Amino acid sequence: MLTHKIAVKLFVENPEAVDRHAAVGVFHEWIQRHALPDHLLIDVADYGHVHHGPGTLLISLEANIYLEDGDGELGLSYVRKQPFSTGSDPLTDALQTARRIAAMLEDEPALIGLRFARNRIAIRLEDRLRAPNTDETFARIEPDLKRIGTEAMEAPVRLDRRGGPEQLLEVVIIRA
Amino acid sequence: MDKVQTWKQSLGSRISATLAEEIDAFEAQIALRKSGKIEEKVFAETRLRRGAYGQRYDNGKRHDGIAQQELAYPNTPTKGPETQWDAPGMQRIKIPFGGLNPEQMIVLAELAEEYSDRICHITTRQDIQLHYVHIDDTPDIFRRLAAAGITTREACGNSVRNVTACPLSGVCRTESFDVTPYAKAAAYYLLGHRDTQDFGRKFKIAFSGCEHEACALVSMHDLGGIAKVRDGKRGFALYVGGGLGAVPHQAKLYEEFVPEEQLLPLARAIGRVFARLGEKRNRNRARLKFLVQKLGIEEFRRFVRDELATMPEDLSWHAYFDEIPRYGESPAMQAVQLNGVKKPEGFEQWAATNLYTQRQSGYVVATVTCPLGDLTSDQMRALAELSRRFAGGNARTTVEQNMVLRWVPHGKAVELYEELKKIGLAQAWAGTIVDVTACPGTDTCKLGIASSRGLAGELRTRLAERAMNLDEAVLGLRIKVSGCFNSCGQHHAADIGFYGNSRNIGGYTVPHFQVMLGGKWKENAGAYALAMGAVPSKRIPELVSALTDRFVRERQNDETFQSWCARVGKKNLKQTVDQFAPVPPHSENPDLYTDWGDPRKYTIGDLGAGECAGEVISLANFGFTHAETESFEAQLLLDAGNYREADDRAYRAMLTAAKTLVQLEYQDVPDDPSTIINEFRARFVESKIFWDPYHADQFSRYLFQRHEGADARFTVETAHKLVEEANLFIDAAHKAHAKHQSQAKTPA
Repeated sequence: MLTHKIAVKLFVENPEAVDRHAAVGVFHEWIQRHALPDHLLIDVADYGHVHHGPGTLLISLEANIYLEDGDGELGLSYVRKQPFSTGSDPLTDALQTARRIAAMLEDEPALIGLRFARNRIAIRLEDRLRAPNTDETFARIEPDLKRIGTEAMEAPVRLDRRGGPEQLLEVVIIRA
Repeated sequence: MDKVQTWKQSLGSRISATLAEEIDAFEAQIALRKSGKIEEKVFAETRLRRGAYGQRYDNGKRHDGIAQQELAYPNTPTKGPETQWDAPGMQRIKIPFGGLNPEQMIVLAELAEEYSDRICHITTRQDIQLHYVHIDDTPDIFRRLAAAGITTREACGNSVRNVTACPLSGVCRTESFDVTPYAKAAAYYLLGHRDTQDFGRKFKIAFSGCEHEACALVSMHDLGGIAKVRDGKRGFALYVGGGLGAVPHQAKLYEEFVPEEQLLPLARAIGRVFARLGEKRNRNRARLKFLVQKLGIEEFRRFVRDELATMPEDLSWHAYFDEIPRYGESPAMQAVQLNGVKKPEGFEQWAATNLYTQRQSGYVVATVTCPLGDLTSDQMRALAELSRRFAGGNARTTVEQNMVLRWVPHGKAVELYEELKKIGLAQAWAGTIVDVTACPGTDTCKLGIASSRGLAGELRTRLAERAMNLDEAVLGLRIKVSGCFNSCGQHHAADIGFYGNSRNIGGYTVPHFQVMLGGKWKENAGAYALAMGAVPSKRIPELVSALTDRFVRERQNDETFQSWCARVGKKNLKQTVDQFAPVPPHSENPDLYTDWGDPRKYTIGDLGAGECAGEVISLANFGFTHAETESFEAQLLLDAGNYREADDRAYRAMLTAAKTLVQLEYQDVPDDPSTIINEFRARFVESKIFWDPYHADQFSRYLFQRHEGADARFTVETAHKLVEEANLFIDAAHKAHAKHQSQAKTPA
């Protein structure tokens, strides 16, 4: 992979059913009980006052974990900051970690009813140096995106590249 | 794509040589600290002077609401006393006078999403801050900023902080003249100036175009200038020794009229007096305000005038001063009046509070309200485009944590409003009671006691809901919130101000805010508020309603809030405040025992050691660290096969160490190598201070020989020899320093 700075977004299927503010308490409670043993959980930030912003953020040494609506759509964003120590494919690792966290959120009583969509995943490369938003970068990651999308959705997928040249390279993997 | 490996290579010549060198040096200092070759205190002040600040919980401890937890950061060196290397930090980015062009805004947006949390935070001193940044990322952040013409140098630490100015400068209807180019000249003249490197505390400067507006809040600055014109000549009423903090001081008038050409030399002289006479050991008494108070303004003036007359000549200010007449801004479009344009819903309200009619006919300044000073990367990027399209790229941050777009044709205001709505930035109520400002407080600051942002957010929400029905006199008030008594939220200068504290009740710690009433935002922060007593954090919104309702009821004619407070009296006002002070037992109302936006049981156990004060590091310590950094860089150049550059860098390392020693006795030694060598020889070699019992003057000869000329072969052997010699020379310089210090302490 070109960079370890990978953001995976899993979209919430039923945003109207979710008390977004409850995520503040949920994330604080995760810190108390070390809910993500492979992450050093540090603090929670609430950006609920910002329009289409980072929402509620759980900060860890390894990644930022957002319940956010930055693109206007509520979702869980897992943004990797440090390389994975497993030495395997960081894209797969990031997606698997995001899905694990999404499942934990779905199980939270305070977020009862929350469901993540299984047919769409957004991948964003947060590294303009190593992964600029160019056709060349896209061409290089396209096979990997298709592979992880197909594996995750157990079905053929298509890719929808988003954003202009000033934005980070972002691709939505959609179940075909 | 594979060819680009680093931002340093990628940006290359887009970064000025000076900035590139400074950033390389900082990167080398990171490497030296990681290998334990720089003391943690020295590194802390070094990074602070680059704006790389500590953040809450960076001591590796956090109370999670149940117990104090250890945050098990990897076992790496600290980046300062009790500051873990891998702990997220805050990066402050200086924006002189708040001026931002679209390219700079785009870079800020990019940095926020790649290294931070997608938020650009505007501070109460026109800076931008990024939070949750890793120290290892800072050199690349600096490079990307530098390529856009921004330096973070001296954004923190004991240095000249961001030079602020009224965001309306140049377009204001009541200003004497545009102070922008003067603020810019002062910012860059004093940046890194040798006379501003040895302060005991920070030094804040502001410029204002008018006396009677709030403008730049000159009264609360160490040094402030208010524009004046006398007999057709430009100058400044100059004020010194103002400041907030725990002990606020109103600035004293230094001189009623300082002609414009005297501004920069005078600022330098004041800096020299502050460096020489200011307190260095007691951090709580080290700001200029305490020196002015101690000496008295008359005596302080005398010192500064003597300094002006005797300080070594430095003509470099001319280069900055000569740029002043060339400063100007251009609109993107011709002026058009707002006639006959259909106005969408919400526009009238937004225009009433967020548009300011410029003195240039047909143009307005549009204030972009940024709740709690926060903008997302996407918003910042979109705003850059709107600035380009509507404002000729003339955007500024404000001390009220908003942004302004200047030179917007009035006739385009509706179009701009529609565009701002699309990106969620068309909120009205700028500069009103709704537009509450706050420092970071317990969200990220190590010194925060209560949640200033939590309270500000709550007040903003509640007041916005009532804004349409608020009395005009109440709407015009300002609320400012600080997380502690250090006043970063500027609570002293607000009609209604708050700063965080706590009270112990029944064995529980309860978040409170001290209530401050009657401060004056106008007249450059013309009066400070009075403390009225502490109220539980969760009861502050009720108190605000009670106070504003009472003000409306009792107000006589056009009485201001300050006049009302003075007429009613502190004792009487305190009765209103005290109604909200009682705290029922925890069992009755547990909500009062938590803070806004934080469900954890409240504690003050997370308070850490603040970094606002920086570390007092001697000039000699800095000098030797600089020399060691150059020596390290020489080694890197040698390893990369750049022998000529390695030779030169090793020579400069020795020169820096020699100069550092000379400065112990002759602070203003010029930078030219021959003078440094002569002074070094006379003061340290001939006196046998720089002298080894076994090797005699051998180490000094390394420098003298290289100064005579380089070995022109520039091979790996010649470069390697000089790099080794430089290391030995610096070691010898440290010993000479210790010897010099012990001799100085020994009575004659």
